[in-house]
Amino acid sequence: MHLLIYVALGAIALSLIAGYCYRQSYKPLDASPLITIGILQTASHPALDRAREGFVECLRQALGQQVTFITQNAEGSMATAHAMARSFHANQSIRAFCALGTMATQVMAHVEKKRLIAITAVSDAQALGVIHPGTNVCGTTDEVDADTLVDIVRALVPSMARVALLYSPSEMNAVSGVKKMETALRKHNIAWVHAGISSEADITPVIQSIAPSVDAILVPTDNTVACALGLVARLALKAKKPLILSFDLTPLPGVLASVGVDYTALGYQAGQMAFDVVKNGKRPDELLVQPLQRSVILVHKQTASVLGVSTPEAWKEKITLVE
Amino acid sequence: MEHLLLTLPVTVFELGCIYALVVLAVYVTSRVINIDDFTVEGSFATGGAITATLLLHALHPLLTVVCAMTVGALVGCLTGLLHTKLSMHNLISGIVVTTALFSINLKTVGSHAIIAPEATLFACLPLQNNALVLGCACFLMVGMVHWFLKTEVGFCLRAVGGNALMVTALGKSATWYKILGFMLANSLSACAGSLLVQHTCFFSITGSIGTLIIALAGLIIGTTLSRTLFWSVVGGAFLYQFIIACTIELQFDPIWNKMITALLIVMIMACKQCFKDKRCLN
Repeated sequence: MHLLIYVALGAIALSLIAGYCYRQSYKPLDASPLITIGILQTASHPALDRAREGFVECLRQALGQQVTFITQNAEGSMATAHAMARSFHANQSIRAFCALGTMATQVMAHVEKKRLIAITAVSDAQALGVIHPGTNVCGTTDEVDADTLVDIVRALVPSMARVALLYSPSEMNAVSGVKKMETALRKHNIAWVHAGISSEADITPVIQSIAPSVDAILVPTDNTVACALGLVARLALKAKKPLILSFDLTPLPGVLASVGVDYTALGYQAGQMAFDVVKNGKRPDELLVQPLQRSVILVHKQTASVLGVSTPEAWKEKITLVE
Repeated sequence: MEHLLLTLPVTVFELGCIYALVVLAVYVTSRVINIDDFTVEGSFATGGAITATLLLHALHPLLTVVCAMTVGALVGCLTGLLHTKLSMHNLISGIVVTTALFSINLKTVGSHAIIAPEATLFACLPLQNNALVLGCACFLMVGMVHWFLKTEVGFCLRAVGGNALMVTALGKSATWYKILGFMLANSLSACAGSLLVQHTCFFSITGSIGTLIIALAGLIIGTTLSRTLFWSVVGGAFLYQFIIACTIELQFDPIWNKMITALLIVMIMACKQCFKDKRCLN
């Protein structure tokens, strides 16, 4: 029995040490100076994962084997994010950092004041207070222009007079998105109702009670809704209401359209900015935080025909139809 | 490699000091008054939320900690009243209060808040060192609870967990002591939440999820290794943070982080088991 425990313990310890050594030794044999980038991700999330892939891809293309990445994921925990940022800060071999998501950005910017932090997938960088003259932070924001969104919705559903805003009030991204949508809707004299959910379990009763009284359902960047999109789409289709997402997710049957940023491209753009700073000697406060150059508008063909929605001529060029 | 020796101990010490208070809170509920309490997680978040709000209103950081602890005590009192006066099961009363607190936190501070580093406790105290401040706070709190449990009230509190009838036989109210236990535990947890928010300069509504698990794991590791209150609480919290820090430093694919944490915990528990068996054989 004892022998078994010892053998198991030894095996675990050995595999950990072996893995650590392997990781440490796994560096390209190129003689040129190596650039190490530390990536801190807020949590596992499709958008953040894609932004990370875009960032890595950009720097791989630009620097080839000269760049290595150390990736850390805080999985939503504040304390863990802080510990990871501290570990990065102390590691002198890291040249620059990449922070994915709001929490990672805030924590990393709090800990590291000198080396570059390229941020991406952050909705409201100004509110974080990290952008100021002499800052070491620059990057890309996933903010969607609410006016454009409302324009598209009005073009698709011209009779729209009252919309439901489906979001979870506990998500910072969603709340700021809803505020911007409200301003844009007020400009166009469209009434709105809040459909707040606190978990996936609330989605069915909330949509069932609110759908009959509205002309369309709008969703800001919201993780809870994104995770349960299949359910939301089914309910919207059942109620025959157009469902429009303000984030980039390929529409499923039931989702009329999605207007948003391509997170891979967003991460890629942040990667280019990091490259400009690290290799071309630009200063982060020259680059600041930029939105993505072009939004992606996807319209689901079948859902559009079920709802009797036709794509207006003026938008034909910008809209991509998906099956 | 040299950075490991410099930061890792500091990070472990700082977070260990903060989580030691939550471990102590769990110790007070599940070991002293012997009633498991779920509210510890809720009051941790509320402590942070209250701190964030008050700091944004430029209140003195020390006062915010006191306010957070007071609110924590009130929250504990509420759970205690639900449990004793309405005879609700202790777990459901904890869950009810934690659920309600989520809304309160959202109302008071919103989904996240950023605090200027100059406004925190660490900037206003003359110590100029986060680790030192957190160390003092932790040792002060643990020391005070240690002392408190040896006073007459403390003995009654422990008696409630062992044999509530005996306390009643002594002419004291067992109900009151149970509520006192809840209040003590939740004010400690709120204090930890407050310190974490001031330490990271950031409050996030989801940031406290899983606190109870960290604290429970810390307590169980701690009590396996030591029998004294101080070492089981502080040692457990430090060891758990050490495990997490090791996981981070191993820098594997982050997908495996939780698995590595789990394996390291198993290793520690198994080590203890091996040593214990050896001692028995001798």
